[in-house]
Amino acid sequence: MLLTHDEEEFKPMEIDALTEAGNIGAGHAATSLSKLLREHIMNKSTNSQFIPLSQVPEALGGAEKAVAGVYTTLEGELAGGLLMLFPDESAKTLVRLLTDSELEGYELTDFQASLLSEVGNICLCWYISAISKMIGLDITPSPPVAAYDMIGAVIDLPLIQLGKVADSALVIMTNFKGEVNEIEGIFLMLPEPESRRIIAERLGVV
Amino acid sequence: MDQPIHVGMAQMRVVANPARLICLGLGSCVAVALWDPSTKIGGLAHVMLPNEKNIRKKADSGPAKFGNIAVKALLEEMKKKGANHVLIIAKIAGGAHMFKHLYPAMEDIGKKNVQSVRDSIKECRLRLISEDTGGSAGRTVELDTETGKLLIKSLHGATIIL
Repeated sequence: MLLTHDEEEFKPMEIDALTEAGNIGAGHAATSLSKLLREHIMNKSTNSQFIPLSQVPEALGGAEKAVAGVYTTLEGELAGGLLMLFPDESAKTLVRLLTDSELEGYELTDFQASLLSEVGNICLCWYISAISKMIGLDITPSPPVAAYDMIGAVIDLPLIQLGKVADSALVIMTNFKGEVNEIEGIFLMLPEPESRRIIAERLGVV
Repeated sequence: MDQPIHVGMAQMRVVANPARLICLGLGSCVAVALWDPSTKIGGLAHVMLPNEKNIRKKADSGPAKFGNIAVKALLEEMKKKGANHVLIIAKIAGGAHMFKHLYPAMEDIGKKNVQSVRDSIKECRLRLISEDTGGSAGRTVELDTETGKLLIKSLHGATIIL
């Protein structure tokens, strides 16, 4: 793969710092999800990669795969997107566990959309608050929104927002998995270029 | 025929017949398909943003990223390959509003993308013969250069052929 313009400016140590920030954020988010579901949610390791915008959907498992996604943006002293993605089956399990209702086909009722947004709200707030404390900056999330569709369609708005300032995404991704129920998913942070720099600086690696 | 050729975000492709071009999982992005029935040359662009206004453009951004310049770039590429400008027809799909309850600043990207490619198609003196735009569902869009037909699939409804 060709190095993109954004990527050339980053050293491995700086990428490591961003990965660590994502790891801490995802750790707190997983703890809050565990409490919500009364089930131990485990994170696999976090990894960070520069990926051209055109290839991000494939990197997340294929553009046409159905997912439920909750999207919020970082506001305040950092800018970027933050998402929680549940593959089809996990989204259905999640809705069943939390509401005793079934998710039919790919249509979210208003109630289910608002439920997923709220789950995202809680988990992603913990994610952000952990990073905020770690780097000593004031970051707040926007109100989260939910969609249930092909992964490409769910993440294209976050990528469009990023596309205003960059041609590649720094994808900071943590996979999580439940111990008992078939719940798995991804925490995904897409910081904008300036914010990538700020996080690395704050963690003392620049 | 071989597998369809993927056209990712902010990319475009022009091909000679026989071939299929595909954009997978469009949300607010818009796919612009151009096709010349005489030569069967086809082109597909995966547009992300309406224009370059307020955009900090990087050196490696291709023209397909922006609706206001993508159509012209796609047309030029087709003409270079021998397509006949006056016969080329245009079809577009995408520009959905994916998230419920999205706050206003981001709300219009899909609509703006659609309007921007419509305007550019007009400016380039091309005929927009059909479109499937808006709504709240993602789309996969495939152009077949043999027929010029645009196949549109969604998780939420029936397959559409434009």
